[in-house]
Amino acid sequence: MSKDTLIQQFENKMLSHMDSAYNLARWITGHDQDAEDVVQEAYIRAFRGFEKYTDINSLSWLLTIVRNTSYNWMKSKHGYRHLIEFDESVHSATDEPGFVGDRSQDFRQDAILNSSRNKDLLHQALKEMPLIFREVIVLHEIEDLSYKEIADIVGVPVGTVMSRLSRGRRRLQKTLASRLSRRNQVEL
Amino acid sequence: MSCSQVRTILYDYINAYVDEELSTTDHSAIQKHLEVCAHCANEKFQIEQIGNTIHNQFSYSAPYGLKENIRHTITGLADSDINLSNVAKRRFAWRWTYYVIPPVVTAVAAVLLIFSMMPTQDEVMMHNMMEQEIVSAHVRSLMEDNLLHVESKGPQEVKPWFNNRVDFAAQPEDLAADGFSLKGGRLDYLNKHTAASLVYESDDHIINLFVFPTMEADMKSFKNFQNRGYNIVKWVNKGLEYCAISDISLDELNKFARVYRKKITSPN
Ligand SMILES: [Zn+2]
Repeated sequence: MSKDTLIQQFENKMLSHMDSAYNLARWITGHDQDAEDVVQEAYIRAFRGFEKYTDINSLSWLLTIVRNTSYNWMKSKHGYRHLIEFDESVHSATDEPGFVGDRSQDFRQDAILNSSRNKDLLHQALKEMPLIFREVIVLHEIEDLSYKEIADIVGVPVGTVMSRLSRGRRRLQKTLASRLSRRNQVEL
Repeated sequence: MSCSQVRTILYDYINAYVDEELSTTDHSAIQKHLEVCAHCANEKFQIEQIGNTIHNQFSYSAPYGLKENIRHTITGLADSDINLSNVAKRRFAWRWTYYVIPPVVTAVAAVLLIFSMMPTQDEVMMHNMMEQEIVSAHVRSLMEDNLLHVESKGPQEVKPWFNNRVDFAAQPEDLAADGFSLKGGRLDYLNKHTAASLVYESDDHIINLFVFPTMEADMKSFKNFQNRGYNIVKWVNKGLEYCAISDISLDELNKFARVYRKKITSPN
């Protein structure tokens, strides 16, 4: 393959996914500058592997690289313990079974997400959520990827994606519900 | 099976229903249930609402200019890969060129040119920019196998390696007696010039000491910075800027700088 053809193909298949790449890196690292550095690095890696690349799904392939690069980045920046901490906080009381609607009076259908303050609360909740939940939610809700595609990127079985997504959403609902009720008490 | 177990399973199913990941049979079974159960219908509604909000409002777009930067990097990379196959034996030495990013460098050069014409006012900004560059170079060096281009058992191996690659004297010194062991060296690109990085280790923490030419006047004392959680100690001596960066404490890093500077200025 000539150099120009190679670059042209890389441009069509890979550079077109830059917003998705940046979005994932931004949600994993939590910072603009880090996300930019990660995306740069990830594209360099992608380009080095591009000639040998035969995968049909270019987005999944790219996002797998972006995810790995983000994790390496976080490890080298914050140390491995920082990543472990995310795992330690995975099993918490908010994962206990039970429907949110059972407990919260403030969290009925019409009450949520209709104001920008509530959206800020949701944004905050997602930002603070353990990485293993956050990444599947971002990949599913923002990038519209299927369970199977997410399973390939994250490197876990489809069933794990399903349960992480489900537990992640329940966490979001519960965090949101408890913050809303706390705020309502303050306002009363 | 307990009530809460049943509910967990049901909740998983409602999620998969919303995501359209259920088999046809399961899908219609859940659908039927949702028609008669207000509780589950409410769950489904909340899942959808949160999903829609995240989808429509929480996505980040790549900043302006990033695509252009990467396009240039890739083009440069393709060129250097061609160089590599021609001079395969020198592959190792060329590795640093993977990280040279032409448009950024051009932009930096342009900004530096402007700054040289209006010296005082924007010094602060230029410092910030250099700090950013140094922090990025440091973090990059810690990723996978980027840290060392030459590994060493002592300064006598590192010094000649640099002699062929930079046009100034990089001075690797043995500081093991003070708790800083020399791991080796690496080439980087800072301040539109090739920089030598001397890599030291202190209690499992990496210190990068960047050395590169500068127009700045000699500095009698160290300057300390903190950026993105890293400590930076900087000084200038005889046309060379020295920047030590690490996640060790500022006290330790200042000690490192003192020990190193003493070593290179005192005649053996
Ligand atoms: Zn029900």
